[in-house]
Amino acid sequence: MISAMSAAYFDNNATTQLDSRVREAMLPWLGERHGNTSSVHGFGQAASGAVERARAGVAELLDASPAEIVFCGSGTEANNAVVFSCGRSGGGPGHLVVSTLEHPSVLVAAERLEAEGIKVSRVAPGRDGCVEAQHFLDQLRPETRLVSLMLANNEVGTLQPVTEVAAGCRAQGVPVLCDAVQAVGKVEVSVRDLGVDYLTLGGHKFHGPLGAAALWIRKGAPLEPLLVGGGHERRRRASTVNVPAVVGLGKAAELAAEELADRNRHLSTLRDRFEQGLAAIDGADVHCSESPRLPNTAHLAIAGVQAESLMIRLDMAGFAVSTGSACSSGVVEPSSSLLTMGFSEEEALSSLRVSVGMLNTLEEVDGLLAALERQVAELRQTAPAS
Amino acid sequence: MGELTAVAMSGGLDSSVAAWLLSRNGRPAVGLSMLLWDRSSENSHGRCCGALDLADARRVAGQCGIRHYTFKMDREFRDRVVDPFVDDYLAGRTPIPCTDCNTWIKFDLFLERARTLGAERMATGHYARILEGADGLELHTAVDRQKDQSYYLFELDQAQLAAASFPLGDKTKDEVRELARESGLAVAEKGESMEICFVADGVREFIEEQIAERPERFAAAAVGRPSRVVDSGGQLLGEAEPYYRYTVGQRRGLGIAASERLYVLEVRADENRLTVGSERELAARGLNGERLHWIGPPPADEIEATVRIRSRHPGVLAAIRPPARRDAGPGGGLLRRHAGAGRLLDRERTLRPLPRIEISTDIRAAAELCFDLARDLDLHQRSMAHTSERAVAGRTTGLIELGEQVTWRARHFGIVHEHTSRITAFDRPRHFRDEMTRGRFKSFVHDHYFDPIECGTRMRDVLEFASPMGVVGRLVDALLLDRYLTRLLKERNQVIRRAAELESDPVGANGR
Repeated sequence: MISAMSAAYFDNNATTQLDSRVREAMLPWLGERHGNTSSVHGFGQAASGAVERARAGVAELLDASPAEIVFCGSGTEANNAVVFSCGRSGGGPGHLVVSTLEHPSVLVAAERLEAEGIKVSRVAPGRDGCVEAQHFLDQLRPETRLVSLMLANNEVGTLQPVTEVAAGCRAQGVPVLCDAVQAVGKVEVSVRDLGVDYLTLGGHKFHGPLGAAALWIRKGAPLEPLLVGGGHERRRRASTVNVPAVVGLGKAAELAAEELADRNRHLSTLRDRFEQGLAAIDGADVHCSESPRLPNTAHLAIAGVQAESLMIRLDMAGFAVSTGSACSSGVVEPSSSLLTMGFSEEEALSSLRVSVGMLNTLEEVDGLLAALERQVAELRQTAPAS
Repeated sequence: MGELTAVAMSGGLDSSVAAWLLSRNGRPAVGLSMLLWDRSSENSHGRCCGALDLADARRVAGQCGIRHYTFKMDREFRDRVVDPFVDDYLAGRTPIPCTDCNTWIKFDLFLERARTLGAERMATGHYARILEGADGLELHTAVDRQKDQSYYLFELDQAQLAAASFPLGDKTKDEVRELARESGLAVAEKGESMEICFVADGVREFIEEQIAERPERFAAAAVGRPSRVVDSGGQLLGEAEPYYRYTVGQRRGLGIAASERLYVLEVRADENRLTVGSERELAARGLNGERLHWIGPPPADEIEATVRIRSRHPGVLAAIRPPARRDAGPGGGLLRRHAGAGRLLDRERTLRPLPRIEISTDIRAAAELCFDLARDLDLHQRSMAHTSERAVAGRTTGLIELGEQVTWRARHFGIVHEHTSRITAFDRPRHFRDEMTRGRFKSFVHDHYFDPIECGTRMRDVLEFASPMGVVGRLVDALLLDRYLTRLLKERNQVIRRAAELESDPVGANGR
């Protein structure tokens, strides 16, 4: 019988395990404490206090001020809110510039606006997984309403020249959205240094809970709310605040801010050990290894091996990794990031993502390498390279 | 990790129970699904490959404690199943896409994917059985004749059968549903999917949608144009919908007034023409087959066989003549591995179902006891004393077991017969089956069911046979044979009943 749970989890870019300290912080709000932040009475005040403390924690992590933070339900919601708000602002012709590396919550929102008559320019990265700032800036037009560039790509982990792009956009008065969902908690993120206008993050990517995300809005930048019907979050997101999740996000942010340097070191130690160990496997090739990258992400191809079969074999052997981008039905599609970087579909289908987290250990990495070597050998035996 | 078995899961009841049974036997298993026809934007609940069905498959796999993965195989499915399906309709034929899917997708590409995961075998929820015979593996009908799906598997070859496993082949649908309920499977109350999985509305609409979507792929000059309807003499009777909306044997939707019911006799794609006629004209004495495929070694000469022309067809006796050596058989091409041509002659004037006898006998005794008495060779010889029937070869005494044979010698109609039977299904105390392997009958299958009832067991005998060949066949008319067998069976059942009741309640209400 195959065990229901993997022994080792190496898919931390998908989601991470909840930090036990975060759980401790949340537990009172899942038990004896409760309250609606909008309520006037003491219960409401207590809930409100907890949420404001979380807001301060997130603000500190981002080098922002608490009033600029809007809590929402997911990174997708936050990205959607900004793209729709900016894309639909003003009259006359409108225009957006997005990188093709963006998360679907930006790309598909842009497609919607395109269907409404707004022009969209898309900027593709090179094989190194990075867009060039100048290419981006070349696309700006007088009617450009928003530029969107993620900080770290979720699949290959490459960091994008957001600071340069933001500087160029600011000179022309164009607002910039930075999707920092994969970056926050793994690398230092300062909204002041980045110089962007909107930034999004999600708690579950750095050992916080699911269902809590934040949208940072530069003071003075407009936002037409996506959800309406209440004055919550300074009229920028109607909905009763999910207090336990927000408390968890706040705690996760506090911990990340405190431990960032250690985390960065831990993640890169594990990732580098994994990548060095790949030398024992014939035809293993790490993508974008020369580019600035997240410390935790390794994206690799193994020549002649179908990544889907390899991923399933690893899973059955107790190691959870990922291939491409999995859609809701759990079906493997070639990584859209790799395709837009100019990789062939075949290359994309033989690519695997290993993303480490704070709870991984060196022993687990060694175990993964051994399993990988064994499964690749078995796969090459059953299915000779096509 | 031992030999891994993959189970193909559609999210339906049958494949879910197959997965459950597999996961219970303690060997490693993995659930696999296919995304075949991605219409996730459309509402496809309750249909194969819909997103909700895949979610059901995943949920059931979780209940079974096995992993579940979905492979996207929509391109392959389109190329090998859907496009040929549309092509066939446009050529005036009526395809069976489920067979193509079994042959080219499930037991080929999908099996290959399973093998890359280290799986040796692929189990499915098909109602059919694979038995080992003298000349290799044999494909047999399911124990549940109502649900039998062996027809759709006819094109599998030895290698495919060797890798296949049908855990439901010896179960009835009722048992399968009961198993799902007992084990609390999420799909226990799910309905049947009888339609073609990728056709959401009607076949006609589907064909026309496909042509409209990809006119470059389907060259169909007559799309949307009314067809001409003629009788078998060529006389024009009127117009009907485009030809590809009809299938041979169809009665409805012709819209032609006539003194008798009209059926489609022929569909001519090249002329957008239908030939129609009476039921009598529809009956055929035979047919020319394409893509002849032998699961076992091909026979050298003409053979006699029961032939079914569609899944729900009860079967007729016919002679199959191997193809004359025509090298390029029709239907050749890359995918048609078993191209060839054959000629099939129907011995009956019309297609007639096999004779069937069904007898129920209520017995005041436990099912186990009835089951064992029914397979007790010694008791059988006593019950058949008047025909001097005795076991002369194979197992000749005691309780017969699965896979064992017995040869009976007896005198019927004044002639000495030998009849060899093998036990081909065995699920004590619910059911067993004996099947003739050698004897006077063309075919002879006897199912013994034992259903619990309030005061004991209902023993149900279902006998399906095809008339004997040779001298007896000519002497004895089918009706007479039917009566004769019914009487023999009833006499035998009374012997079993008496023995069972005597043993379980020697001084009871029977009073002796």
